[in-house]
Formats: sequence, C-alpha cells, structure tokens
Amino acid sequence: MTSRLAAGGVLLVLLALPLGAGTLYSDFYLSLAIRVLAFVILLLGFDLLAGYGGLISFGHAMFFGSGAYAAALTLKHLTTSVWAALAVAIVASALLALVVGFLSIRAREIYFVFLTFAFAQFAYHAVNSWEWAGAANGLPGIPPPSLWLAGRLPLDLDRRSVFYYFALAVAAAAFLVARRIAASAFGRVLVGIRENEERARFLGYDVTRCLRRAFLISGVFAGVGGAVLASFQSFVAPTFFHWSVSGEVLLMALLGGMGTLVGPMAGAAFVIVLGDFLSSWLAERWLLVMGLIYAACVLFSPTGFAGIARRLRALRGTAEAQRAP
Amino acid sequence: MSKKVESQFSPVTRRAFLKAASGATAAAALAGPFPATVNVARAQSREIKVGIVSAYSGVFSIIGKRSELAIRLAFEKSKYRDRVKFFIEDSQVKPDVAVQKAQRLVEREGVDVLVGPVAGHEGLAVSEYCKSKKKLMLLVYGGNVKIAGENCSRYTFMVGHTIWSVSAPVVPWILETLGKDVFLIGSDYITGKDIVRWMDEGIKKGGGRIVGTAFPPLGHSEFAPYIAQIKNASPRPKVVTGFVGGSDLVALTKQFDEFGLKREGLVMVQTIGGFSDIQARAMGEAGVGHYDIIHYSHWLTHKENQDFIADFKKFAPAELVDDAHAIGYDVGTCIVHGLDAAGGVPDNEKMIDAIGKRRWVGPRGECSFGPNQVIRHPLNIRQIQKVGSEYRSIPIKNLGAMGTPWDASGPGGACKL
Amino acid sequence: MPRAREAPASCRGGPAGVASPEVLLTNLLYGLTIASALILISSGLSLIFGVVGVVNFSHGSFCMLGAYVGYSLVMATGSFWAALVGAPLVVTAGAVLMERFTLRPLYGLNPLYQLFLTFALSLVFSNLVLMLWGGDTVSIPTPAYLRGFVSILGIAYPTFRLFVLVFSACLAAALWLFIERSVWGAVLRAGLHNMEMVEAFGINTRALVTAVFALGAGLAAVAGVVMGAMRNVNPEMDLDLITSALIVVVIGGLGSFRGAVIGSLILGTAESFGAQLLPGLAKFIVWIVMAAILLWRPEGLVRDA
Repeated sequence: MTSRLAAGGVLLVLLALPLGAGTLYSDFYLSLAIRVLAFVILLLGFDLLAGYGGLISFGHAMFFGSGAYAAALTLKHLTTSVWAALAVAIVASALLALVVGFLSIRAREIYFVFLTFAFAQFAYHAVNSWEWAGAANGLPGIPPPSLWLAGRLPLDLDRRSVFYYFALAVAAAAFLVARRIAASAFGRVLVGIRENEERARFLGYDVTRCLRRAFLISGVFAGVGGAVLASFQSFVAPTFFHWSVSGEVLLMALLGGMGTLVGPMAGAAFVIVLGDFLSSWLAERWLLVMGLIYAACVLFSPTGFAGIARRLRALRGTAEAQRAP
Repeated sequence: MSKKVESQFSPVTRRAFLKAASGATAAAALAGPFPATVNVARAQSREIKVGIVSAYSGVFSIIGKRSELAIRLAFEKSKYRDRVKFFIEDSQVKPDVAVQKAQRLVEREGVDVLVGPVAGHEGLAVSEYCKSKKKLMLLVYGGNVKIAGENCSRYTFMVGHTIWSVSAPVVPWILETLGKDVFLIGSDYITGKDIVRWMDEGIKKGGGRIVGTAFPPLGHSEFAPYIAQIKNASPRPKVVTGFVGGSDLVALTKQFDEFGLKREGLVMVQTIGGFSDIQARAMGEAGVGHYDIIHYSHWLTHKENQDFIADFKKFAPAELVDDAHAIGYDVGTCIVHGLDAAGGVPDNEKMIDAIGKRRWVGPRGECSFGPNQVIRHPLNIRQIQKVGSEYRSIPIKNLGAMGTPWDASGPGGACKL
Repeated sequence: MPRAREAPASCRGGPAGVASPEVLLTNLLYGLTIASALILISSGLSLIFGVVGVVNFSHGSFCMLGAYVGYSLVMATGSFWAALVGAPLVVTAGAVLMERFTLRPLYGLNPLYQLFLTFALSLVFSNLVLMLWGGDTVSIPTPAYLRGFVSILGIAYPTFRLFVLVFSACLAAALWLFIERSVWGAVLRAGLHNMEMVEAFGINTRALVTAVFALGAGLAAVAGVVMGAMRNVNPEMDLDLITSALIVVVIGGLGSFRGAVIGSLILGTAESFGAQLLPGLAKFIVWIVMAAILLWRPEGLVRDA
C-alpha cells in the first residue's frame, strides 16, 4: 500500500514540476529533469538486459549515441516532426543492436563487458572522425522538433515545459512497456537464464535467441533515450558515445538496484541530480567526492536503493510480526 | 547553488555594499521629485554577476583556474571590485555539461555576462546557446574556427585566439628561416588534423616540400614509431612542425632528443604555444632550441606586460604568469571596458558595441577585434633558451597582428555579421 | 625543381619505403621498446585477475601514482634509483590497505561490484593526483649515464630504452622463475586454477590474495616510474595505460603471465609497424583486434598450462 502511495506521490510531483518553473524555481531544473527522463528510458532497457538477463554491457553509450545522432540528422535534414526523429532513432539503434548483439552474444561475463566496450569505443572514434557527422564538434543548431507530422501546433515542443511533458509521456510509456516485458513469459525466461544458464538450456530454451532479443530491446530503449535528449538539447556531440556514459549507466543501475526497473530509474535521478549539485557546489573537488560516494555505495549496499528498500520492508515486517499477538 | 566567491581581497565588501546602498537610499530620500536619478543610483550600485563556465576538473583545470585568477585581477583593479560577484561552474570539458552549466548560470543565477569554456567543441555549443538566449559571452580559449566563421554570433567575442590564428601564419617564416623540407606531425584529433591540413596547404603554396605526415594518438605519449618515420623520411626534413597536445609534447621533445634527432640539427616548431616556460622546465635540456608560436610570453618587454606581471605578483605571488593568465586578464578588462561604456549598468547592446570597437595594449601587446568579433592579437615566435640555470620561452620575432579570416575561404567558413 | 643529392641510405624506398631492411629493423627495434614497457604495465593486471579474480580498473592509477611518487622522490633525493625502489614500496602499501578495506568485503559477491569499486577508486586517485601535484605535466629525469644513445646495427637506440628493455626482460625472467620454480609460485599457480583446493591445504588464501594484489600494484608502480622517465608524468596517464594493459591481457589471455608477455610483444610491434603502414587508423584497429580476439578466442592466444 505504501509503495502505491509513494508512486502516486512521485507521479504528482513529476506532473506538477513545470508549474513552478520560472517563478518558484528556475527553468533550469526542468532541463535537468528532462535529462533525467532521457536517462531513465535508457536505464529501463539496460536493466532488462543486465538486471533481468544478467548480461552486463559496458557499451550502451553506442546505442544512446546512435539514437541521438539519428534523431539529430533527421531533424536537421528531413523533417522537424519528433515522431519521425524517434522512428529513425529506433531503426538506427535497432540495426546497430542487431549487429553487435549477433556478434557479442556468445561471450559471457567479463568477456562480454570487454566486447561491448570495444565496439562502443570503435563507434566513439568513428563518430569523432566523420566529417559529415560534425567530427568532434558534433552537430550544433538542430531545429526544435514539432509534434505534428507536417506543420507546427500552437503549443509546440520548442517550449521547455511542453517538451518536459512530452519526455515524461515517452518515459511513462517506456516504463509500462518494460514492466510488461519483465512480467511476461519472456521476462521470466530471462531471469531463469540469469540464475542458471545451463538449466535453461536443458529445459529447451534457445538461450542465445532470448539474449539477443533482450539485447535488441535494450538497444532500442537506449536509442529512444538518446533521441529525446538530442531533440531537447538541439545539439549532439561525440560525448554521447563516450565510455563515461556507459560507466554512468552501470553506476545508476547498480546504485538503484539491478533487476527492479524502479531501482535504476531512481539511480538515474540520484546520479544526475547529485552530480549537478555537487559539481556546482564544490567546483574543483567534486569528482573526488563523487568517486568516494560511489565507492561507499558499492561497499555498504551493493544491491542499491532497491536493496535498502527491501531490507527496510523486511525490518518493518518482522517488527509487525513481533507486535502481533 | 553555484560556488559564489566574493572578491577575497576586499574584506569590507559587504560593508562597502551597504554603504553604497545606504547612499542610494539617502539619495532617494533627498531626490524626492527626481525618481530617475534614484533608479540610476540604485542600478549603479547593484551587483554585477559574472559567470565562468570553464575546466575545473581534469588536466585543463590549470587553464580554468589561471584564467579565472586573471579575470579577478582585472576586476580588482577596476571600480567594480566591490560590486562584482563571480559564479564558477565546471564544464568537465564536455559540450553537453558545458551547456547545462551555462543554462544554470544564465537561467538560475541570472548572470550578466558569461565567460566561456576551454575546449573548442564546448565553446561552440555554449556560443550557440548564448546566441539563443542573447547573452553576452567572452571566450578565453575555446578557439574553434567555426565561431569565427559559420557560427559567428553577435553575442560572442573570442578574446584568446583561434587555433588558426596561432598556427597557419607561421608557415612563411618556417620556410624562409628554417628550411623547405618539412615533416608534419599532428595529434590524432580535430585540432591536430585541422592544423596539419592548413600547414600542408600553406607549405605547398609557399614552395616547400612535405616529406612525411604522422598522426600519433592523443594522450599516448609514445613517439618511437613516428621518430622512426622521421628518420627514414627522404629527403631528410629540416624542421618538424604541426600540433602535438601539451603533455604529449613533453614526451615527444624528450624522445626527439633521446633518439638523436636534435643532434642531427632537426628542430621543432610547435603551434598554439606548447613550448611555454612551464613545459620548458619539464623538458629540461631537451627542449632548448625548439620554437613555438603564440601571442604571449612572460618575457615580453613592453610596459603593459611588466605592469601586469608586477600586479600579479602582488595579487597571487605563487603564479608563474603565462598565456592563460594574459588572456584571462584581457577578458576581464574587456568586460570592464564594456561596463564603463554602459555607465556601470550591464547592458548588452552598449557593451557589445564598446567591446567590438576596443583597441588596447594588454599583456600580449596591441589587440583589437575583427568584424567577426574575433581577436586580432600580436603573433610572437618564441624559442626555448637556457638563461642562467633556468629554461625560458623567449620571444624572438614578432609577426605583427593576426586575426582570423571570416570569408568563405577562411578556415571556419563565411561569417555573416 | 631538381631533387637535391641525397645520401645513399635514404634513397631506398622513399618516404614510406616499408620494404627497406633498415626501416624494418628500426620498426622492429622500436617495437621492442614499446613491448618492454607494456610488459611492465600489463603483467600486474593479468596476475591480479588470475588470482584475485578482479579486473582491477585502478591498475592505471597505480602506475600513475608510482610515476608521481617517483617524481617527488627524484626531485627530493636526486636519485632515479631511489624513485625506482621507493615508489613501488609506497604504492604497494596503499594497495594493501585498499585491498584489505575495500575489496575484501566484496569477495564472494557479484564480481561486477568489485569491478565497479576499482573504477570508482580510479576516479578518486586521479583527482587526488590533481590535488596533490597540480595539473602541469612533468617528467622524471633519467640518470646522466643512461642518457644519449648507442648504435645497434647502425640504428640509434637511446641508452635509457635499452635499459628498459634489459630491465623488463630481467624482471619478466625473475617473475617467470618465481612462478614456475619456487614453492610460493606453485601456490600461486594452484590459486590461479582452484582457490578452494589451496584453502583446503591449509594455506591462508586471504594473505595470498593480498600478496598477489600487492605484487601487481608494485609492478604497476615500477612501470609508472619507467614511463615517467621514458615519456612524461601527467594526471591523465592512467587512462591510456589501463587501456593498453587491457588490450594486452585480452590478447594474451587474462590471468596468464606468459600471455601478458606475448600480448605485449604483439601489441608493441603492431603499434610500431602500424604507425608506418596505417597512419591515423591506430585508434580503430586496436578495438577491432580486441573485439576479434574476444569473439574467436576469448581465453587469449596463450593457453597457460
């Protein structure tokens, strides 16, 4: 019951956020929120692969980046429709995920980490060198997207609060889809594979096929997240593909608690908001403090926020049981 | 929530502010039927907010910190020393973070003027953002040629240099003074590749010959294979030039000497500085005799530089004054100049006009701005020499004032300002 | 424009005359120096993975810390050898503390957590370095009698690089002897295969793990001091070093010391020839090779006995 209340409360805050922007607090916090939403979408896909499927990828930046660049190029050269941008981003990241997934899903554990890392690095250097993609400068000056397919609506995505609701809607849809997948038979097979791959194979499941599908799904989610951020920022740079993004994704998932969907979402919000706050407050020392905080989090609660929540609930459960006659 | 650091060298800031405020209130009381004067007085005593989004983490943090100190010095010497408030943000040398922090400064803190990031790609991203928000911005480094051309903006002034203005123009001097057989070497990223491309064109046009080109990976610091290429090049080059990133250059210079290239009489010409005093110390004997090209040198003799160095010694005695300081100082004095023209009240139009027309002699020498709002700075060729027991970067030749072209054939494309 | 007269040696082949024996020999010799540096950098990483089971992302940081501590020692005492001995001692002490208090609590849990912890700590280390030594690049001065160059088969070879070659060969030989011939080496090899069995023999595996971690860190610190003299000392050197080390151990096989040596030789010569043959493509090729090895022979090129 309390988790329903909590969820409702969070939703209410999220919906009300733009109302105070510009008056009670700065517009800037909406930008921060949109950035969080883009990463939330990315994390949802990542958790399906890593949390449920047990395959930790250190290369998700390449899908994030490919979605972002695909959306940017669409908006710049084809049409300003945000739906077109999203569609192209989905196709681009899906293709990339198919290829990389086909090749990579034969390695496991640390070798899978290295493999995805190698592919992502290759993608990063490629984008950093291609002149038509802007090389290191990236693509500045992307026109603001529009909700309509052809013309522009009076209330369009160039206003920050409108874009925020759009991003919120996409993130909500992503969450519902991810939850559906996790609860479905496919989701349960993934968990089975994570727990004991050999047994899943003996039970007759095509492990490789399942994992490749999970990889594809997580790649598409990442691409959508990248597209959302790119359309908002109105520029893209090769830093979308940088390994530090992959590292951040892993961090957010770990901190939140892998395999719970909600955990990584909270992790994303925590890392981005804390990072912004700390870097503004401390200016010079903040990376040092961040590193220490991450290390402390891993040491004291490796299962992340979700783990802490579970433990608290268990404590409350035993306390109630003790109070019961 | 930005780190607000008040002018540390006037401990009575708050008192002074209260004094000014009470003075304004008194004036208001006396003014009575003249509300306009009251408003002016109040406006003239309000805070001036300067936002700095620069590199404060990572290796570039040395540039961020040094230029910030110099900006503070410029304000310290102005009449705004008690009114100015600095807001510092770390851009982490990433364009999206730089824009995010710029947003924070402009939207949340409401800064009057922004001082821009260090790297080229971040500079471009923040410049585009400031263009959309019509916020005045000055760049310390961030010498991206696109801002001088295609992406020029009325709201952006490049006060430091562009990577073109401190590289390509040295070619005629190289061909004339050092030799016509050149080996080009550029770190494998956009700056290195662009500079090598421009120098390649310049050398061919000037009748020189390129005996080889190499692109060592940035940050790797292992140059043996490229030294092998230089040794095996035919005909043997007289000079090795191009652009190799700062810390890599220290390794390259040491290895250049170790592998015997310096003994053979080969000399290096580095662009965008590189053979500075600080780097010279790290290189030691291996660095002596090499050249670089940039605007500033600690050892320039004109009066404004001497005064600047003396002022800095009193302001921050531990600093070894170099080009990051000099550019920061110029940025600071430009903002002050704009404020003077606007009567002490930050006003975009008046400040932009004033800064655009400014001609001054700063630590670097005589400076002004081109129509693309990019600095025309003096260009100096420096050489590392051993003076006593110290290794110094001494200016040996002045190539005059250099701006960055803004026509379609220029390095950054056409600027339509 | 008529071509000026040139010395006969440079007439062969032209600017990219790969085929000429002189060029081949130069690239080979220079590749060896790169390889010898890589052996120092990667052997520690490989050992730590083999015994401790952790891919130590702070490995590059250990190298960097070794370089900076070495630099301070040289500046203070004027002796390069003080740095070469002192820096590993300092870094090893720190590494032991790190292993005891941060890694040990995570053993038995998902290896991802350990990986992640070492990654977080590498962030801390690189910022620590910035705070303590500042951001300017410095360099460890080589001892005067190791400067200059010798002539090997007509090619100028810096004396210090020759020293590095000999030094890393000796170190590699010593390590190999230790691992293959000594009692503790046998324990280590056993631990590489089956830690539980070693425990069953009554050997304190915790101490063994700490000792191997310390050894790996010490090797990294030595590598750092050597790199600091051969190249430079800067706050971003850890990134480049950990990347090189990772590629070497993937090629050679994680956990295998011989693999680290073979991988270093391969990568060193590839780097040397690659710069000549495929300029500007180095950054792509390195990742393609890594991916290729992981796809077709993930356990590395060397099958360790």
